[in-house]
Amino acid sequence: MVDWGFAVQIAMFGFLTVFVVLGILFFILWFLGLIICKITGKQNNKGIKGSG
Amino acid sequence: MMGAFQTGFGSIYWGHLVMWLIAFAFIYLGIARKNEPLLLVPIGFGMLLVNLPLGGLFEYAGGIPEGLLAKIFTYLIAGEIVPPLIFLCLGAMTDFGSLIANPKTFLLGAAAQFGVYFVLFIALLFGFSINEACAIGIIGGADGPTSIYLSAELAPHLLGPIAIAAYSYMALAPIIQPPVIKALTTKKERAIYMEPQLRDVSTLEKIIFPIIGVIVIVLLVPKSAPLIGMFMFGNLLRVSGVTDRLAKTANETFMDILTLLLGISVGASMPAALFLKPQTLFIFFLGIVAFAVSTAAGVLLGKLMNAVSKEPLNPMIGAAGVSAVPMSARVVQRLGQEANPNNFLLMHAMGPNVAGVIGTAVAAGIFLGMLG
Repeated sequence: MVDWGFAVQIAMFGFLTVFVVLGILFFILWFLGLIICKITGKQNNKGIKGSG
Repeated sequence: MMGAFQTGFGSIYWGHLVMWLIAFAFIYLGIARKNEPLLLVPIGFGMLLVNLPLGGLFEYAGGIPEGLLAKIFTYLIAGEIVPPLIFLCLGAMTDFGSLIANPKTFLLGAAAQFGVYFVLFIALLFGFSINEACAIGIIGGADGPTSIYLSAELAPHLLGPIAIAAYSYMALAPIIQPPVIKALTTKKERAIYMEPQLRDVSTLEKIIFPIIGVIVIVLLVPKSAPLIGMFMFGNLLRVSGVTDRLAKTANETFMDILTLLLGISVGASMPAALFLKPQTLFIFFLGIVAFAVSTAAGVLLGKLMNAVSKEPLNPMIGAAGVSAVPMSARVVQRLGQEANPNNFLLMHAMGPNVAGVIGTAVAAGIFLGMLG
């Protein structure tokens, strides 16, 4: 007998957690880029968006 | 004089012949079509070997592996040694530069895990247990080592079919993904131009990322440590600038050795008696659904990001959010060039592609944390 409640819990929690973990990494990289660009003065924030 | 000598001819049955045809198809795709030959040729040959009767290469006696390939498969593959080591090598091969330069592509790597959860429910509907459904669903991430690692833990009896399905779909990304991408995008969207040059990423950023990345991910999802830990370690070897010898060994010789062992033993895990069962064929069906849905989810988030972003974003790069590195990124590059010959999307697609590897490993870690 399938425990559908548990299955929904796994799927919802799993998918959201993947987004949260990768989302946190996104913010870390964004801030890291911002700080490093400020220190080196090579690129501004726009550079981080990929405009080169 | 002949004693107990016996040829294999008398033991051949129709199932072996079907498996030979499938093995020939894998070898043909690898050699003649050059579709991921490093994977398809060893898998196809392993499949052929194990379906030559009386060879005994994949024999077990009382649950203990006796044949050569059975030993390799049991101790190294199902024993969860090779998959994390492959992650080490992948880390040493991966350039996070495009992801660091354009971190929003992390979100595309997350969206492309949707197929994993979608197929989880379909598998449950069709009578698979929750552990089996999770192991089947992870095929949608299109990451062979992760699929093997997870199914060895959650559903070891399905390891053979899941491994074959995951590796086959990774290799067949150029055939599976284009129809899904084309169905969800207009030619105008596929032709959206993206600046080919991403910003320069400093060595310092490249060194910091694997260290911060492993701390954050493993603290949040501890069970992802074997895969993510090895992946980030391999990447640190690559970018540190002082461990070039180790990085070179990891991304060349060691990767080749692991691919050899994995390919031939995974292929050998498919004897006709196991492969030609409705359940196995259904796993293959679910795997392709998972892969297609993951591709679609990545493209749809790409469309959304393009709609809200100030800078144009070609939605096709979302399809590379599955972890078939670099096959998916190459598919996006090819379709991008077809729609607009001035477009070079490869570097843009590599961002979601490597994010997808991390996303699938995280998804597997969550499953293991909840069920393992």
